[in-house]
Amino acid sequence: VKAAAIRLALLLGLLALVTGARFAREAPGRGVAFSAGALLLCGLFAGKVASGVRLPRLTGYLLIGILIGPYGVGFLPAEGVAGLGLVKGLAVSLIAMAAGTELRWAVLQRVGTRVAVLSAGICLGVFVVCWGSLLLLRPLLPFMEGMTLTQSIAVGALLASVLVSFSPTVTIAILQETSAKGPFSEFLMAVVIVGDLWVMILFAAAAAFTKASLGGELDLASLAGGIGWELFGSLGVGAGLGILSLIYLRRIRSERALFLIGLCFLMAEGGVRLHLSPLLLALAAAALIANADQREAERLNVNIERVGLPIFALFFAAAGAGLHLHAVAEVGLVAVLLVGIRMLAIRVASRALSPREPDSLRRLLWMGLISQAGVTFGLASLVARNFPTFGASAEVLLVAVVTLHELVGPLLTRKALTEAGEVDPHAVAATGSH
Amino acid sequence: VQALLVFLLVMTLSMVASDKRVLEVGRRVQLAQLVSSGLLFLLIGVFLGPRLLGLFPMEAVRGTRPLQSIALAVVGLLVGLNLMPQLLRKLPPKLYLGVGAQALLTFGVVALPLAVILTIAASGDWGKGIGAAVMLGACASLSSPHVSVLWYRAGRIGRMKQLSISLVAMLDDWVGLGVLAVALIFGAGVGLRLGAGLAAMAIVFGIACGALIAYLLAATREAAEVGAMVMGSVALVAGVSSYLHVSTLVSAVACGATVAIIGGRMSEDLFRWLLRFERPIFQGLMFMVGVQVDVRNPWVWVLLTAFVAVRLFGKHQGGRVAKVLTRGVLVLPPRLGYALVAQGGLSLCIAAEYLLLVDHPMTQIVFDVVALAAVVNEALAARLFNRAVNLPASTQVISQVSA
Repeated sequence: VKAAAIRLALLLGLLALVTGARFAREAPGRGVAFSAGALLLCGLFAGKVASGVRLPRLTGYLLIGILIGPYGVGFLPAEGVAGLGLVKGLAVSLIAMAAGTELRWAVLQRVGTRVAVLSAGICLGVFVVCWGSLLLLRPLLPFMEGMTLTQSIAVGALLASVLVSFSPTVTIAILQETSAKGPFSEFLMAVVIVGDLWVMILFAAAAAFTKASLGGELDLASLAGGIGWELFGSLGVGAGLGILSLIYLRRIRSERALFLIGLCFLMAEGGVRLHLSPLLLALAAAALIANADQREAERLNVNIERVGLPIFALFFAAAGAGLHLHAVAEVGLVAVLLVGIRMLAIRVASRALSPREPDSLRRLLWMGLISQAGVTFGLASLVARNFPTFGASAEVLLVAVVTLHELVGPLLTRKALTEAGEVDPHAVAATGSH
Repeated sequence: VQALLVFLLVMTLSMVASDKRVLEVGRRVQLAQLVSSGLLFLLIGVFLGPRLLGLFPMEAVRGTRPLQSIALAVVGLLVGLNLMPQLLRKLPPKLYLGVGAQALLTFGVVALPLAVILTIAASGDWGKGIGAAVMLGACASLSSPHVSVLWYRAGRIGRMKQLSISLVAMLDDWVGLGVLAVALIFGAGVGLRLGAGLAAMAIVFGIACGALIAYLLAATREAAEVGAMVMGSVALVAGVSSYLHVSTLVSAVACGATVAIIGGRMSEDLFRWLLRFERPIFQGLMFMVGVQVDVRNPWVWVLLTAFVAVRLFGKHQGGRVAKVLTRGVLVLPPRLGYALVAQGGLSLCIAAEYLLLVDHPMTQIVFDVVALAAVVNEALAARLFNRAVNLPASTQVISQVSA
C-alpha cells in the first residue's frame, strides 16, 4: 500500500506541475489524451491503495477521479474529461459482453422467470415509494413550484422511474474484481440487468405521460414502438452481431483483442445512433456466442480480461472525475432523503419478494441493488434535454443522488458478496498484493 | 465517431492488406512495398480525405487529433527507447562524423536554397520561412533502413553491409529530430526566446514523465498491469505535450531516452509492449497523415519536384562523404546515397507534428511536400538500392520478402 501511495503521490506531483505550466500557455489543448493518461495511471495506483485498505478497487478509481477531476482540485480540464465519452461507451459494451458470456440457456431456464418476477416486483415497489416521496417532498423541490397536481404527478413519476434504475456496470465490475461465483452472484447480476429493462419501459411511459401533461400529445403507438425497438431491436441486432462475431472468431481468428475492441466501439456508437441500447446489444451478442460455442466464449472472456483492466480503471476514474460534487452541495438535504428512502424501499421490497433459497438473497440482495451510475446519468440527461422547463434543475437533483449512490454502492455490493461467501479469497488477496 | 471510423477502417485494411493472397494479387502495383512501409494507408487517407473524395471531412480530421498525438508519442517513445547508451558509447567517433556529415550535408543542400524561396513565399516572415525550410531539410536528412533489411532477408546483400547501411540510416534520425527542435524554435513561438522555451519545456516534461514511468513500471509485475501501465504512460506523454501545446515527438523521445538510460530491464519491457501496438498505430497515423494532405495546390507539386531532386543530390553527395569518413569502420556500398533514398515514417511524423504546432499557411505546404515525397522516394528506393549495391534492377525482392 505504501509503495502504491508513494507512486500515486508522485503522479499527483507531476499533474500539479503540468497544471502550473498550463497557466503559462495562452491556448492550451483540450486535454483529452492528458485526462486519459492521468486518470488511467492514477486510477491504477488508487485502485491498489483502495484494495490494500480493503475497499473495492472501483472505489479507488472513483475517488481519485473525483480528486483530480475538474470538480475536485482541477488538475484535469472539464473539456478533456468530457472528451472521454468514447471510452465510456467502450467500457459499458465490454462490461456487458463479460456479463453476456455468463448468460447460458441453462441459467436462463433455471432462474429466468423468478428473476423477471422479482426484478419487476422490486422495480414497481421502489417506483411507487419514490413517486409518493417525491410528491410529499414537493415543497422542497423548487422546480415543481407552479405545477398543477397532474403535472406534479407526471413529473414525480418520471423522476421516480430514474431513481429506480440500477447499475449493471458497477455490479459486473465488482463481480469481476472479486471473481465471485455462486447462486447469489448469478441472481444479483440477472436482477440488475433485467431490472434495468423494466426501468427502460417505466421511463419511456413516464416521459410520454409527462409530455402529455405539459401540453404535448400522448402517442401510445409511437411510445410502444420506441420501447419495442429499443428492447427487441437491441436483442435482434445484438444477436446478429453475435453471429457475425462467431463467424469471425471461427474463420479469421487473428487479432481477437483488436476485433473485440472494434466490436465494442461499434455497439457503443452505432447503438446510440440507432436508438438501441448498447448494453443490450453487447449482452445479446455475447450470450449468443456463449450458447453457440463454449470454447469461443471462454476465449472471448480471456480477451475481455486482457483488455479489461485499463478500460475499467479509466472508465470508473473518468466517471469519478465527472461527478458533480457541487450538485450534492446544492440539493444535499433532498438528495440524502431520497437516497435513504430508495435504500429502504429496495431493502423492504427485496426482503419481501426474494425466494427463500438461497437464504443469502433475502438478507443481502438489497445491498447489491443500491449502485447507480452510467444508465442513471444517461436518463437524467435525457430528462434535462427533453423537458427544458424543469429538466435542468431536476437533473441536478438526480445527479446528486447518483453521486451518493456511486460512492456507497460498490462498498455495499462487495460487502454483500463477501457475506454471501461467494468472493474468491485468492482474487481479493491478489488485488491487494499488487 | 471519427476515432471509431479510423479504427475500424485501419483495422480492416490492415487485416486485408496483410493477407498473403492479397499481396500476391497486388504484386504488380507493388502493394507489398506500400504495405510494408505503411504508405498504402497514407494514399488511402489522401483519397478519402476532405480534399479529394471528402468521405472523411475536416471536422473528422480535427476529431482525431488526440489519436494522432498518441500515435506520435508511440513513435517517439520507440525512437527514444532505441537509444542504447552502452552500445552508442562503443561506436567509434569516425562513425558519428560520417553519419553527421551525410545528414547535415543533405540538410544543408535542401534547406539553404529552399529557405530563400520559402521566406519570399511567406511574405518576408523570415522566422516562418526559415522554419519551413529547416523542416524540409530535417525531413530530407532522414532515411529508412527497411529496404536494406528486406534485401538482406532476400539474400541479396551480406549481413555486414546491411548492418552498416542500417546504422547510417538509424543514426541520421537523431540529426532529424535535433533539427525538428530547431525548426519548432523558429516556427512554433511568437519569438525565438518563446520557441526555445517551448522546446525546453517539451524536453523537461519528457524527462520528468520518463523518470516517473520508469519508477512506476519498476513496481509492476503482472502482465495485464504492465500493459495497462504502458497504455497510461503513452497517453500521459502524448497528453501532457498536446495539452501544453509543445512537441509530442520531442517530449516522447526525451521520455523514451530517459527510460532507456535509467530504466534497465524496464525499458526492454516497455519496448516489447510498444512493439505489439506499433504496426496498427503506425498505419493509423499514416492514414491520419494522408487525410490531411492537400494535393490540389500546384505549388506543392512544384516544390515536391524540387525537394525530391535536391534531396537525391544531397543524399548522393552526403553518401560519398560518409563513405570516405567511415572507411575502415563500416562496410558500405559504392553508392551509399542511393541506398538511403527511402524516407521512412519518422519524416512523416515530424511533418505531422509541425502541422499540429505551427499555425501558418506555409506549414500545410511543407507537410504536403514531405508526405508526397515519402511516397515518391519509396517508389524510387527499391530501384536505386539495386544501383547502390550494384545489383540488376528488380523490384521483386520486396514482394517476395513481405509475402
